[in-house]
Amino acid sequence: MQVRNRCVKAATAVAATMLLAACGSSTTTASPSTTTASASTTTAATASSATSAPAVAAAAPDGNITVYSGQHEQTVAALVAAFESQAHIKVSVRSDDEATLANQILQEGGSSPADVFFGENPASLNTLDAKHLLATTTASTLAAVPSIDSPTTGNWVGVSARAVALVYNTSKVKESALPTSILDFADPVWKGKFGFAPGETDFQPIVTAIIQTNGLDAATAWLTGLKTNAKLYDDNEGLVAAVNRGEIETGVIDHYYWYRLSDEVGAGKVTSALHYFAAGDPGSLVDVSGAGQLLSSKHPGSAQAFLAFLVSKPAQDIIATSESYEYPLAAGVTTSKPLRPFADFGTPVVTIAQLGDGQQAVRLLQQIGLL
Amino acid sequence: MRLARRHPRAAPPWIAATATAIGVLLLVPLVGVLVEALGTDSRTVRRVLSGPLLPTLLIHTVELTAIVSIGCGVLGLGSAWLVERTDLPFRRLFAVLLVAPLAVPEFVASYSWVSLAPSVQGLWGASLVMTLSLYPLVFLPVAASLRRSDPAVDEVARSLGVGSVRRFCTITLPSVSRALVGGTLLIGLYMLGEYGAFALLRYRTFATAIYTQYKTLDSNTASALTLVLCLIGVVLLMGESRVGRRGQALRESGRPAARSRLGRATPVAVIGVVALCVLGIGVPIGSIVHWMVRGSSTTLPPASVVSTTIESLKLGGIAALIATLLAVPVAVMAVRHRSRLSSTIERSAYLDRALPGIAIGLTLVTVAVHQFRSLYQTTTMLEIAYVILFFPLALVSVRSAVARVPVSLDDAARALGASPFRVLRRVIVPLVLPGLAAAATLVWLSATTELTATLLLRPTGLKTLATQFWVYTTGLAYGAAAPYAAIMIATSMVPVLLLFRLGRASAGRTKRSEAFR
Amino acid sequence: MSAVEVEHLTVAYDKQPVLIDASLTVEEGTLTCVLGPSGCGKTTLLRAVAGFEPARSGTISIGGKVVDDSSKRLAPERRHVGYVPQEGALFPHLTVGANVGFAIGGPNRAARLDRDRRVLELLDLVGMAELVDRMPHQLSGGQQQRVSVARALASDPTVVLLDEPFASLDAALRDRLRHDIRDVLRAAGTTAILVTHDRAEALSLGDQVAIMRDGKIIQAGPPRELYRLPVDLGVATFVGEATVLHAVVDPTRPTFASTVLGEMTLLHPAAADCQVVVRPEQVCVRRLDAITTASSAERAGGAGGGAAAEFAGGAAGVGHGTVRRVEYYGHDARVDIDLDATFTDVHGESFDANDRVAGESDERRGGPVRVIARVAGSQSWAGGDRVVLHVDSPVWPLP
Repeated sequence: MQVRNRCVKAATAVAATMLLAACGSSTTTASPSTTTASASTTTAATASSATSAPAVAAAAPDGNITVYSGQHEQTVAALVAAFESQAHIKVSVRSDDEATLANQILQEGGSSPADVFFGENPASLNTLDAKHLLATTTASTLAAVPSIDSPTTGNWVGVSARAVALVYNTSKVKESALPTSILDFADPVWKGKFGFAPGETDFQPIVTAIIQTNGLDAATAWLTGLKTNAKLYDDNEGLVAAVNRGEIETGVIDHYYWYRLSDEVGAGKVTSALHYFAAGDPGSLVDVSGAGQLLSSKHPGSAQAFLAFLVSKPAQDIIATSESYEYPLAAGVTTSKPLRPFADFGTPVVTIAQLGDGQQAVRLLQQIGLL
Repeated sequence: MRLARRHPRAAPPWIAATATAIGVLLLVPLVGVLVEALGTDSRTVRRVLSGPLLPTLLIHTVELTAIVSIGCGVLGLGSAWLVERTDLPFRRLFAVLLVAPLAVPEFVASYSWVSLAPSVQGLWGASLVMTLSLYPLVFLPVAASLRRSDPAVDEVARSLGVGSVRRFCTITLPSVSRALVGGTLLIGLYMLGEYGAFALLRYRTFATAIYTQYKTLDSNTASALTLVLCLIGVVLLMGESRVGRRGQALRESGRPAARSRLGRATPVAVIGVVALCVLGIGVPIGSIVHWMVRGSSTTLPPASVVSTTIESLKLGGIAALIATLLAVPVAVMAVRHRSRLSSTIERSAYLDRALPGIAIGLTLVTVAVHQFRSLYQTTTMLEIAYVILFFPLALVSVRSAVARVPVSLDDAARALGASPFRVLRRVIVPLVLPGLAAAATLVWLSATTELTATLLLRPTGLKTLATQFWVYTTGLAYGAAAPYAAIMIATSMVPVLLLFRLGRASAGRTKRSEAFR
Repeated sequence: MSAVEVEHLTVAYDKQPVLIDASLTVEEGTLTCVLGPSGCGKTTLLRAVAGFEPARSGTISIGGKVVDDSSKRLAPERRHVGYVPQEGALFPHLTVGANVGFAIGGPNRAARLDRDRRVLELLDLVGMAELVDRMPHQLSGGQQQRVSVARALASDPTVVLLDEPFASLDAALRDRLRHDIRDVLRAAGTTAILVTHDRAEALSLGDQVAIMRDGKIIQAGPPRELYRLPVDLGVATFVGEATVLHAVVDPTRPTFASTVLGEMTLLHPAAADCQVVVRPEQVCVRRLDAITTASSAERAGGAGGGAAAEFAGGAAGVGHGTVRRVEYYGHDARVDIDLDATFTDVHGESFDANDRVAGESDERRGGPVRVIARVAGSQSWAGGDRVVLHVDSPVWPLP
């Protein structure tokens, strides 16, 4: 009996220690505000008279909305909180993988509870658009960001951008040794020294870009080369961490993964850095994250108000200062983070229309056996 | 006076009806996947089946399932034997620690390993991590069998001069073969559907490939792959029913077996068990502590962590309660009224376990959106998903508990005028209570830490410990994620301890009921 | 009115019949023992009456109501029977009192008080009243069976069914318990069917005994009738020790038969040659030396027949033999005697024993005829003793 009591106590002690550790080790705060925190009892009518951004005032609010978000959760939480206090529209956020949410909307069809889909890449938004699930975005909203960052259909609007980048381990590779073109990684000299995540929604646009700029055969040859050369990762979070700890020399990711990792590991302890491909190279791709209103939304007014808010200055400022490390798109707003200047990426290598739904890239990856 | 046509051994209509209804519920995901796959145009199916990836996935999945099943079998059996049948020092403490890995969700375990030892990856890395986190599913039932089995047979063999190794192989092993095969099957099926851990460990199996296809919005390819996975699951189940039937029924006894003396092997055994405990529970806890101390994003979890924890425990608790209750009629039917129907229900419950959570989740999304709109994105729907996902865990425990209640008790009660329902309520259920509690605990553990289906089916805005952990790890904020993992493990320790005590309790109950035989 | 009426009952498991065309009537207030070797279908008969097995054909009635007509049947819980399984099957999670009170329902307080009184009454009947609060695992095997019987009686069943209730108990306990239980059943005026493979149990307990073999009821009747007038050789040897002898019958004298032990009187006239069943207690046996001490002159003469004739007094058949085996039981002893191969009977007719016998079993065919006798335990017998023997009462002929 005594033995049993003792071991129960021991296990309880272990659990208690862990709890104490959890509570005691606080340093900085990055606590997400709760997305369900509702606006006050103020009526919706006051919203129109409020001296808010003109875009918000343009759409008449018609009830609370649900947003399916594949975006950085904490940033979205901050955006939603600002919108709620400004527009007095309650927003419920459903966070999940961008692709899972897109799949979910495809399954839900016309009866989706979502009013807005906030994605990470053009492919998922374009897929929904191609299935006629998105409604046209208000013209003034579209006008707030450069026209190349939204689709020609006008059915969703670009909100922020992320750039393709190469992360490399600084103790294993010198930046001078890195290629200027992403296509070079098909070369056998990179065998075992390059990693990528073929299943990531961030990777397929690169393939699409190569198909668009260099042709299908070049893309096939490149991927075939990667198949023998590269180490495959399941996602970019795993890849960037693997490069940082030296498991692999280089890896292709979107830039913000490295910044988020640096934040976590702590400045000075990072053993990796970012390298950008030359402008004009398919590897210099800049990807747009955007949002669109679902055609089935019962609250198009509120939904459009939310879209308008996303490209308004207050929202873009939040993005510019947030831990998502994405580039804001609205004119006059620049990121406050030490990122590569947005202008350095040059003109986009492919248009959003060219990126399409990404299925050609997926087929190619499947055909080669990378998916 | 009412005469009925029914065979007296046939299941009472309400048990058959309830079990069938549950069976239908369990079939929903399977049918959903089938319909989806059949709806896929034959070109896609042919492309998938002849694609370059399929052989790789087949080999990977089969290899991994085989290695982990065997590894768990060996570790589970070996540690159970050491704890139950030898004079291993500190065996009561070890008995708890050896079950503890159940408290660590697989995605947390694999994350810990990856961050601790990056070389842990690929086939052997995945095998290591999965074996270390799943072997308790063999340890628990085998230890229970060892506790209950009649030592007389072993003593006879001993008196005949049979050595300990041969005795272990010819007597101990067959006496626990049912528990061993049952536990291993569950692990095998689990392996087929597991995604998160393999993604982290960079090992491509059917489940990860299916996820990837969903991620690339190619649901046709995904459902074709799921169909292949289903077939592997069917093969596994057929294999089990063949092996499982050969297993001997346990001869139970209330007398504890004499413990083998380890003698000079004691240090080796202790080191082995300690190593197992350290690898299974020490590594995840160590890694979480590391991130809490080192991670820059480490923060006091917001006040909402309390409500998140309560929400998680509540969701898991309700699922555990429902799954366990539903398992009772199915188990009674499977044990007392074996028929084609009962085995179909059992099989479909197990087969669901082999499906990746995302396939089950998306099927339920479709069904709910189109058939039960009012249930969509409600906790009810989420609970239904949990019940489907974790029903096999409940069924395994409840079934073996029901099988240990002698049929003569049913007969005696019925002859005394008790209706089948009253027999269940007054005789079977009280006797299987420890089994029911063990079942509920296992489901509770798993449901509280479930991620994939939770993300897909939760009401918008609902947060659980697992979803919060996911939010932060996908943002690479490991420090902020660590407290959630710690709370998950800490709260799971309660059910784990409960599970441990219940194992003892049910053994005690048997001892007492044994005396009257 | 009969309490249980089984008519032409056939029960099968997966098309394999285990009970074939069985008929049995159990009168109210009596105890019927169903006796048979293991696997003969006796437990199936009991379970069919209880309602756990369905009739393939035939009918079962309890208390005058049909409970199974082989197409429709009454559920076990509605048949109003008491069931005592082999090992008692007490509910391990309930106290002795709760076990006995299991069948007695009652939602309100009055009913509960009533139930408690009834439980004590029943436990008193089986001599267990002081153990009402014990748990089953705290009871001995015999005590558990007593509780099990009390539990079965609790609902005033039309019939109590006992499935080898004493099989797992030790001999002394078994004897006492079986008679206690019979007394309890008598006192309660309960009809009962008890299944057993123990012939002593069946003959000593039953008002009626039904013999089963290969799924069939071969014979049913009072124990004495079964023992004295068995319907066939199987029954004859199953219900008790017996020597079966070939008998020659002269049609003009149908109540007499000639056997290796000389002429015997038959209990029932026989039309032709037959076999006769000789029970051990019918065999009078004496050691030859005991007889011849009185007439040593004749022993010197050598002819055993003369001495035997003198011993038997010419009343019935007579034979000579050698003791092969003695089993000593205290109050008596069983003596197996091999008859001499050839001898001359009282009428001077010569017999060859080997041709005449269908003995206790086939393995003895070809050997000497073996006769079983019982002698008082006070006499001392040993293997090799020469004996003379005869049968002193009428015997039962079988075709």
